[in-house]
Parts: sequence; structure tokens; C-alpha cells
Amino acid sequence: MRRNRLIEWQRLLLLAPVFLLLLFAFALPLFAIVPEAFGGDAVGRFLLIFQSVVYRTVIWTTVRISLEATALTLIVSFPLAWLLSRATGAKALLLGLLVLVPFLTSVLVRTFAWLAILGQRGLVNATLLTLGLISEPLPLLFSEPAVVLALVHASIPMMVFALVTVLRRIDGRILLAAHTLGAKPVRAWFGIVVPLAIRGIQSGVIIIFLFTMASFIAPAFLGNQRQQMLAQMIQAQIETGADWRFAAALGVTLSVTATIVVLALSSVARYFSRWQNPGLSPTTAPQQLVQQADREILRTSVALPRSHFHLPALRRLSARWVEPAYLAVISIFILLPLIVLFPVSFSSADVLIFPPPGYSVRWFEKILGSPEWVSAALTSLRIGAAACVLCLATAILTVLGFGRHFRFQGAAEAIVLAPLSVPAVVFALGAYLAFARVGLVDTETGIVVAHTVLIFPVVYLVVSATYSSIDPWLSLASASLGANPWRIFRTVTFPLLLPGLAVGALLAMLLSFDESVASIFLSDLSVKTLPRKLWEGIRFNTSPESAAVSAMLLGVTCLVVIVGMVVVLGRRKNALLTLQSAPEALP
Amino acid sequence: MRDKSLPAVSFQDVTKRYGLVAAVSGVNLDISRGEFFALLGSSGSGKTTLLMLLAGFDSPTEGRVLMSGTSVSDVPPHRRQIGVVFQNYALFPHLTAADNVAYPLKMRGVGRSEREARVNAALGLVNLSDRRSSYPSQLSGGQQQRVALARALVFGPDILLMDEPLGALDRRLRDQMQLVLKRIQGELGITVIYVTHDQSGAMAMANRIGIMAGGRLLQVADPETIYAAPSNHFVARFIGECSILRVAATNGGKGYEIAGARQSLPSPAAEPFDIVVRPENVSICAAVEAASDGAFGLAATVRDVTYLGAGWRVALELSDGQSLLASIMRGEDVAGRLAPGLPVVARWAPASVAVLPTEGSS
Repeated sequence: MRRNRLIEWQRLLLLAPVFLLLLFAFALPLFAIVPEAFGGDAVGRFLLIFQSVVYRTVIWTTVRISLEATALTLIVSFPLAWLLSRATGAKALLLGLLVLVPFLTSVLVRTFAWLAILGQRGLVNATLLTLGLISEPLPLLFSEPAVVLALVHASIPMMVFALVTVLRRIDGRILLAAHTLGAKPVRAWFGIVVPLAIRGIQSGVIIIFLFTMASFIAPAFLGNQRQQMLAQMIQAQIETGADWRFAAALGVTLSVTATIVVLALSSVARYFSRWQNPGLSPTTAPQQLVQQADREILRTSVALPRSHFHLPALRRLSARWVEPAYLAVISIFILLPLIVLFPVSFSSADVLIFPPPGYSVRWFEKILGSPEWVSAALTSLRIGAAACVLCLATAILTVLGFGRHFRFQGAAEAIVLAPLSVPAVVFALGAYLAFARVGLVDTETGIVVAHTVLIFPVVYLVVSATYSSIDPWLSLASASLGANPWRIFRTVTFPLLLPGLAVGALLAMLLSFDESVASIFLSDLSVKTLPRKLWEGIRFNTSPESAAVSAMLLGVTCLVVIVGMVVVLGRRKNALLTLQSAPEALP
Repeated sequence: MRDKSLPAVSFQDVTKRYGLVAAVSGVNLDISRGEFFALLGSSGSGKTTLLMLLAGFDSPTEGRVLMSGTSVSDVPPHRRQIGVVFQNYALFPHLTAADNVAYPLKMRGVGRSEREARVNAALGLVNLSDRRSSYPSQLSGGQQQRVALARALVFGPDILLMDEPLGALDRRLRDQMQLVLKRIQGELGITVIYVTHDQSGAMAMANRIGIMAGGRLLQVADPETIYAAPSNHFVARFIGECSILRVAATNGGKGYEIAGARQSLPSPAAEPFDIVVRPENVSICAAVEAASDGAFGLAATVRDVTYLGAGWRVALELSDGQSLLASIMRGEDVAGRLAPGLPVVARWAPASVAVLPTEGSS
């Protein structure tokens, strides 16, 4: 009994940092929005929002675009997630990279690339003109489809991650079973795989919906005045410093709208996943049924109905080509905006033109020679390093604090992961309002704190997954061999956590380096992060200079991913080598 | 300081509850120094809980656990000086075999030279000196098992706890490891507590066996006694094959009557009782050959014959409807003619039956 209570104290001590962080840097800022939104002439403010045609249109546009983008993302990502969940070896690695690299690239960069693709003189128009399919450029930019396209592109990685975790758990034999029972491949897929993946679909849809609801970068770059989105208006209010209270009211409106739609989506998902938590099984009288059933009927066999259109050749063809064709299209869609940055950034022209009239390195020279860009990069690096250290330390303490058998693990984990379920723009708004009072706006500390809150859940997920993959008996073994709790951590838990910590550290660095929303809200004149500077650059003048910065950011991402892969694969290879070599002599 | 006469381990009225469920209830058990004790039970019987209590990973709800006469309630696991071999070995995957074995020595601040000597000795003890630089993932199941054993022995613990250590090994390897274990126990004279559900392993190695079911310790005795004189129905069924027959006591418990035949008991038993008959003690002969000389013999019908290689297992139905198992060796007279439906006479020696209190009357 006495020991048990002691353990609870240790737990509290370990969990204190994360709960303090969430309380002061997450919950309080969010609540700071409320008094701001409802202070003063609140009635007039909300009447203005809900009565004016302008704002009602904005709300409707926001929900519509978000739903369109979410639905499209789901349809486009599902096959990719399925293929990734079934892939092994090199294929799994390549598909994983296909999803990971865009995920780790700044949303700002990925959205900007669409300017170079869809612009008047962009890639698409240039190609169509050259092919002679059109005689003058199509107005592709500054339209709703352009915004949706960019949002879908930005959302694919997150959707794939959400789906893969669930799809991976589906036993492949269940599909074989469906085939032996007479289901055609497509039928088996929609009847078995999709229903089994319902939890993944649910979480993916909600994550993507919240993400798209809160995005302001895509509509600001690619949309037009007629279809502004809520988050865009909030950002504009804060940037122009016009009306905090109105911005807060818009933030509340966004949250409430998002909550209503998410609840609706969840209840739909609950309907479709009702098999996962069935109530008490209904009682039938089996005896009676058995007696009534005529077993003779089982002696005759039931043939599959003759297919109305039965084209073996077509089926064989589609079986062979559907997957590669789909993979080719989706890879081009995912990679094109990343690849197009490189030729554009080496352009010799002063404006974004594709294909560039000539090539030069002038934009890179200009960036590297500009003290503003260099200092922005250094600022981002400093912030990334600080956020990374804070995230790692908090994640380790949290994981150890939860331990293996924590009665309230579910609830506590939900709290810890809460920052993932709040639209980033709402948190950024709250952070701006709250930090402004304590003088943290436009300081590196403020951005570091905000980044830690936003990125911590991701790092926690990685570290906690590693922790739960460690055999729980190891710490018991270690204790039985004479190690006290601290030495158990130092000699067993920590070394085994290291791979997860390394991945978590890389993720934290990259995510902080690329994070745009909080950076744009919280930095202004004195502290400029790279994303903030890029945002300004693209807003005021879409020159190849921004493309060059984007290309460099992308290059950094690729480099980090490659280094990470080499380290991970290198470790595996080492293990293999020692396995093959004969046992060596003692050192 | 340690009194050699005190039991190495003793459980005194130990009960462990998780919520309302008692995983272990009212266990009293003394294990002497140098003993090889097997704790036998099916999964969920509470045997692993008992082991966790002894190793200090959990503390009893009621009662005390003593080691060499001293209560260990306040001793944390890392100070208990118990070597534990876990079911899945729990080798540290990031350390080599030698480093795994050296781990408990490092925790105890043992100097480098003594550490080397002890690691070498321990690895030599389990015949693994040539794999010292291998990582656990590079070792086979049997080798991992031996590293785990070396690691648990290297610091000279008072007690070696083993939790289903041979469960994951195939049969041949298991037999081999049993020999290794017995040899090592003889060499070091250490107290071994061996938790398992494998009755043949327990029989082969242990000095004494404790049978657990439903969190209770049902019987503690040496293997021969457990087999020949089980104390209740569960133990009788758990160890080996047997038939438990309902009989009517005669002569004030000095004998019994079954299916019209009477037999006396070597020593009188308290009524009412059932008898346990092991298949190998039953002999059968065809009914026509059975001389009606008044000797003990039960009329029975063959229901089923299973060929086992060395002989046959025969399921019989007695004239009063009870079933009886007999095992017939190759070469016995009746062997060639066994077929379902054959009327036979079954016999057994008076001393070969064990008496059990009838279930529910206890």
C-alpha cells in the first residue's frame, strides 16, 4: 500500500511539466479568446457576423471548401494508404518517402509551388499552349478549384498516416476469405476493407477537416476575394492589428462551426462503425430456430450469378495496370509541386514563368547575400532547436509518467494530444491574444512555446510508440538483477528509447522549422522566422526569390530525411553484419 | 548471519487481490534451502502472481513473504538477491550476451577483473563461452534461454526463480535444458523455484511439487506422492491420466464395492470416498478367460481403442456405466483381440489405487 502511493507521487512529478505546459501555453491561450470575443459589444459583433451576407457567405464557403477538400483527399489517399499498408521492402520505403517528404515540407512551400504550376505562365498553361490544345492561357489561379487542389495536396500525407495505422491491422487473409466466398475484388474491397478501416477514415476525415477549416495560406495565395475563408479573415484582422475582439469573435465562430461539422461527421462514422461496439447480443431462441430450419436445403449448391459483362481480357488488363497507373498519377500529383520549384528557382527571369527563359543562380546568390534571409534562417534554426529540446524532454517525462499500467491513460492521453484536435489558427489566435498580455508576442520565446505546444503531441506519439514496443519484462528483469529505478532508466529504458527519440528530434526540428501558422501570427518586426519572411515575400511579390527559398527549404527537408534513413538503415545493416561474422575475440 | 535451518522462502497466509478478484488466496508454503521446487498449475492458477510477490514486483494484500526468516515486504525488487529467468527471457536487446550477464555485476559495482571472471564462469556453466559477443537477436531460443540463466546466476543469488523457462522451446531442446538445469542446480546447490504448467518437466526435475489452482495451493509433496496419492480430484486429473471411480464404502471404510465387485483397502479411509486408478495399473483379459474364482474383477465392455506405439489405450465401460481407462502394453495376451464391443474383465491390485474424499464433501 505504502509503495503504491509513493509511485503515484512519482507519476505526478513526472507528469507535472506536460500538464503545466498544456495549462499555461495551451488551455489559457484558448480561453483567452472567450473574454475577448464576448467583451464589450458582443451582441453587435456576432450580429454583424451572422446577419451580414458577407460573413455568412464566408462561413458557408469555408465549410464547403473544407468538405470538398476532405472528401477528395479521402478518395485520393485511400488506395495509396492501402498499398502502403501492404507494401514491404523497397516498395514500402519508396511509398513511405512519397508521403513523408511532402509531410515534412512547409505548407507555405507546397502552396506556393501551385502558383508556378497554375499561373498564367505556369507549367499547365505552358504545356497546353505548346501542345496546341488551347490558344490562350486558362485562368486557373485565384479560383476555388485551385484552393481545393492545394488543400488536397497538403492533406494527403496526414490522411495516409491516419488510414495506414488502421489498414495495417487488417489481416490480408480476410480478403482471400471474401474471394473464396465469391466476392469480386472491387466488391470485396468496398465491402470488407472500407468498413474495417472506418476508425481510420473517421480520424483522418476529422483531422483533415480541421486542418482545411483552419487554413489561410492556400486561400490567401490561390483564392480570390469572392471566396475568402474564415481563417484568412482572422489572420488579416491580426496582421492589420485592426480589431482583436472581432478576430476573437471570428475565432469563436470558426471553432463552433468546426465543432458542429465534426460532431455530425462523428455521428455518421459512429453509425457505420456500430459493429465495433455492439450492445448486448439480442436473445433469440436457438432451439426453436434449429427445429424449424429445413436442413435439406443445404444439399443443393448455389452458383454465382452469371456476370452480365464478362470480359476476361479486360479484367486481366485492369488487374495488371490499375495499380501502376494509379501510383503513377498520384506520385506525379504529390511530387510535381515539389519538383517544379527547382527549375523555377534557377530562373533568370524576374517573374514566375514556366519554363524559365534561361537559368542562373542569381536568386540563390541574392538570398545567401541578404542579411535578412540569413538571419531569418538562423532564427528559425534557434527556435527549432529549442522547441526540439523542450518537446523531447517533455515527451520522455510524459511517457515515463504514464508508464505501463496507468488507470487514466486514455483520458490523460486525450488531454496530451488535445493540441492536435484544435485548429492551428484558433490556437495561434489565442496564443497571440494571451502572449500579447505578457509581452511574448514577437519574441523567440513566444514562438518556441507555441511550437512546443503544437509539435509536442507528434513527438509524444513517436516516443510513446517506441516505449510500448519495449518489452515491459526488461525493466522487471533489470530490477531483479539489482538496478534501482534510475539505473533501470539509464541502462535499459533510455538506450532502447533512443531510436524513437532520434526520430522525434528530427521531426520536431523539421516541423518547427517549417511551421507557418503560429510563426506568422506570433512574429512580426523584431523576430522574423523563415516561414514568416517567406509569407511576406510571396504576399508582396511572387518572384523566383521565394521559389529559391522554397527550394532550399525543400532541400533541407530532403537532406534531413535522407540522413535519418541512412542512420536507421545503417543500424539495421550493422546488426546484419555482426550476425554474419563469426563471434569475435574478447576486447 | 543466515540461519541455515530456516526455510529459504516462506509464504505465510499470503493473499493477493486485484480489485475483487483474488489471484492468490491463503497460501502457506515453506521452501527449504537447496531445494528444487516446482510450482505447477494451468494458466490463471495464480502461480505467476506468487512469483511476482516473491520477486518483489508486487506486494501481497494480506500475509507475509519471508526470505531466510526475515520479512521482505519493504525490500524493493533490486535488493532481494533473487535471480529471475523470465518466460520470454527478457534479455536486453541492446547488450551482447556477455554484457547481459555482466549487467547485475555492474549494478553491484563489481570490479572489472572479478566481473570478467564471473561472466566467463557463468557463460561456461551454460556452455556459451563462444557466443559472448552475440546480441540476443543473433542467438537461438535455446541459447537465449541459457544466457538468461547465466545472467540470473552470475551474481550468486540465494534463490533462482524460473517462470515457464522452457515453455518456448521445442521438445528435444526442452529435455536437454532440463538436464542442464539439474546439473547446474547440483553444482551450485542453489534453491530453485520453477513455475510451470508442464507436469512432465516438473516431475523430472523437482524435489517437491506444489499444485496450484484458482489461487490456492492444493497439494505440496514429492513427485511420487503427488502421482500415487493425489489429495483431491483436481490434482489427480492434473497429473497424468487417471480414472476416478465412484465406489460404495464397505466394512466401515476398510474396503469398497464397485459394479458388484469388492476389494479391500490397504488402510481404512474416511467415508465417503472415490478411488483413483491409473491406466497402467489396470489389467484386462477377455471375459471368457476370466476364471470365476471370486477374485476381484470388473465386467466391462471395450468402447474405444487408441494405438499409441508402445501399446494401446483402451476406454472401457463398466457394467454400472462408469468409464475406466486402461493401458495395454504390446505383448499382453489380450492385445491382439481388442476391438470395440469386446466384453472383458478389468482388475487392479489393492495397493495401486488412491483414495480421494468425494468431491463436494471435503
